Amino acid sequence: MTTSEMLLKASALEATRSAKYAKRKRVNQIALVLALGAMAFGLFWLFWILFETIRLGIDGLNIATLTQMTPPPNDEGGLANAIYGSLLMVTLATCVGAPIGIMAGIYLAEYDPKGWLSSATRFVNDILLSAPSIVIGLFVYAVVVSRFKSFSGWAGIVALALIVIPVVIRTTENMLQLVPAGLREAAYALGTPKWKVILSITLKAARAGVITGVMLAVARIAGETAPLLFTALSNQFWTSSLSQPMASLPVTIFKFAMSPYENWQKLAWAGVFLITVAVLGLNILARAWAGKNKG
Amino acid sequence: MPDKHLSSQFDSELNGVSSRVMELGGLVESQIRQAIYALSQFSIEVADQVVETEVRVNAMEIEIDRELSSIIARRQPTARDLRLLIAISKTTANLERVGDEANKIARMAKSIAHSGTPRSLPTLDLRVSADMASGLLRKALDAFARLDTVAAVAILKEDDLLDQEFDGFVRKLITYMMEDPRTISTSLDLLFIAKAIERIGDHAKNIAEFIIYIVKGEDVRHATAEQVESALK
Amino acid sequence: MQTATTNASKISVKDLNFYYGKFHALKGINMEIPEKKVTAFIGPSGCGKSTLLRIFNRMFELYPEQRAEGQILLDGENLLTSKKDVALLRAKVGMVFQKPTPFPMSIYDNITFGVKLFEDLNTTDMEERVEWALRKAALWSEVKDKLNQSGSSLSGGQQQRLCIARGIAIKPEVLLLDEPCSALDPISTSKVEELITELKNDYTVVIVTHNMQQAARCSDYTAYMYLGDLMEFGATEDIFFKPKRKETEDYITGRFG
Repeated sequence: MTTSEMLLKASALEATRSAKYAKRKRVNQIALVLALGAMAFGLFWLFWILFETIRLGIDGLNIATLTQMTPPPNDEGGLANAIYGSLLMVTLATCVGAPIGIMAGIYLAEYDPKGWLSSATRFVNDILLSAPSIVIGLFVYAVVVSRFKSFSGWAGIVALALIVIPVVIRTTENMLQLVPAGLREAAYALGTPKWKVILSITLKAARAGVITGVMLAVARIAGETAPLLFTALSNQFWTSSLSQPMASLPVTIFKFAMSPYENWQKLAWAGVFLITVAVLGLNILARAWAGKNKG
Repeated sequence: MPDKHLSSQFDSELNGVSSRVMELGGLVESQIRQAIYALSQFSIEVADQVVETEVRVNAMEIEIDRELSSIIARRQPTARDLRLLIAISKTTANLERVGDEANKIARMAKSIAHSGTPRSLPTLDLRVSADMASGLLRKALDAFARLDTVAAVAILKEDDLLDQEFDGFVRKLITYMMEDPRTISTSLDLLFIAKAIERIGDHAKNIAEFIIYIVKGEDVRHATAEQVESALK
Repeated sequence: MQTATTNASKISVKDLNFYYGKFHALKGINMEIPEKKVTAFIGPSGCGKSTLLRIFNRMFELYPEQRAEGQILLDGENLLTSKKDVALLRAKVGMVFQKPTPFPMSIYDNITFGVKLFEDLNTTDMEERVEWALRKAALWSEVKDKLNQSGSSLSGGQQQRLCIARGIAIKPEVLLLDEPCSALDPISTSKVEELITELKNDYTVVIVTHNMQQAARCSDYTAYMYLGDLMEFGATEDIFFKPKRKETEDYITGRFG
């Protein structure tokens, strides 16, 4: 090949390179524009929801909202009993459901990952995870409420716990599986018994992820309405007894929002605002915690 | 070496340094031949050529050693490769000394030519044993290239013969010196030449010993014949 | 099959066969590991050297499809059939892995973790033990002012030395090192190699390495393995100067990978 032929080939190569690159660049730009557009579309709706929530909610929010109980129609009042009820039931449901979920997750990840019991458990868990919460509410109604012949806070707690458990099982198992095998082996090599490896090493290493999972479960049940409809029902008055029907924010919002009474509607928006802030706050906290502990 | 390394670079480096050593051997052999010619023909010219070649021989020794250091540093050779490189280094040193001996013979030859010898002295004997020594060196280098341990043992035995020749020659010279004291000075020159030839044989023997070292990993320098036999089992 | 011993044997391997499910990974291994010396296992990938190492502290039992047959005598007792708790075996036979794995806790807690399993030491004794272990691992001067910091805040080489300190803190008799330097840079590697040479004064060390020069530098005895067989076992200087088998020589001179 002569020098001029080589130079010609080289410049031809150069030309095709630039042409192809220009085409790729164009395709890239089109895709970028489409993606940004889609994102803007999604964000638009999100911000609108938040904006409306804040606008309408802030309006009905004042000290009275937090201190006074739910009023009869056309009367002044607040959401105190609903807030208290929600807090109580969510906390207790988490205290019941999270440990069960974590321990089950530990069994699935550490004790018999491939066994028949684990496979069956995972299968059932996935079904429960995506079960409509109203079905869970009805189940608890049939089993608890009709047996004890009364709606109660306890029934509400059971229903919420049944939602927490699958979520926590799933996240706990996933987080534990992420712990590298080498870490466990290093602990075993020191002569550590199995339970201690799980508790002091594996669980500790997965701690951030597991807690995040629990936080997300809490955020989920904080806004659940359907299960509470058939179990805790609602209560206009203050009650601290769990064997009585108990008010909760989601159910109260449901009741008030569907009503024609203006003060009730205002309180409903205030409730919506409170729940949104709580759930948003928990999610952000969960993410921040996970991010801090990743490093 | 029979098998190839995964690194063909390493193979070519080893081959390169091996052929350099053979080249050095050839050069030194020609020195010996020329030195003997100068002695038998009383040629001062040829004797000077030997001295010239010496410069090249010394340069090659240094070059080969530098090459060896480079290979050892970069390749961290082990087992057989390591023994080969160590043996090559020592063989090179031995060849360079053979060159020195050839040099000495050439200088003695010059000195005898200048002084004008009584032709009755046994220079013919010297030529015969010099040919023997030179042949021995050739055989040693040959066996080294083929890593032939059988040939190596034969060389060890042949050097013994050369040593016996030397002893015989010394006795002859002593007789000459006793008969005619005027020949003492030239006889001593011839003695030095004979010693140089005997040394060449020893160097060839060393090279043969290195062959056994490379192939078997046994150091048979200063060993008896029985020890050599058992090393080869 | 080669066996060689000029000192007392700490570990005797007799007719050891090992299986991953149906796969016959180790075939009739016979070997004597000498006491208070460094023994290196070398060989190409998949030859079984790591497998063999992990039998010495019964790590294979974590995985149900792996099983071992034969005898491995530690101080005369067969550790494969011993009725004693495996944790006690692992207190005697420690292991350091290829990838540094600091526990998710402070440096101090990392070291005391194993010690607390087997000994009740008061605070002073514990602190002494921690310092002793870190000094032995050539890490003390670098971490003595930050013992409360997380183990993962250290560099790779330091983490590996931390794992070594953690392993020796429980005062084992045998130390198994599974390619301890492959994840480390050259300087950290030399520090660990220096450490290995010192450790053999107190412990029997067995090291698996795919770096032959490291085996040549650090070990007193070397075992060459290939496809589950023990091809040759001998003093390191013999193996690297005048190996008895052609297969060994081919491997170490790079005539095959």
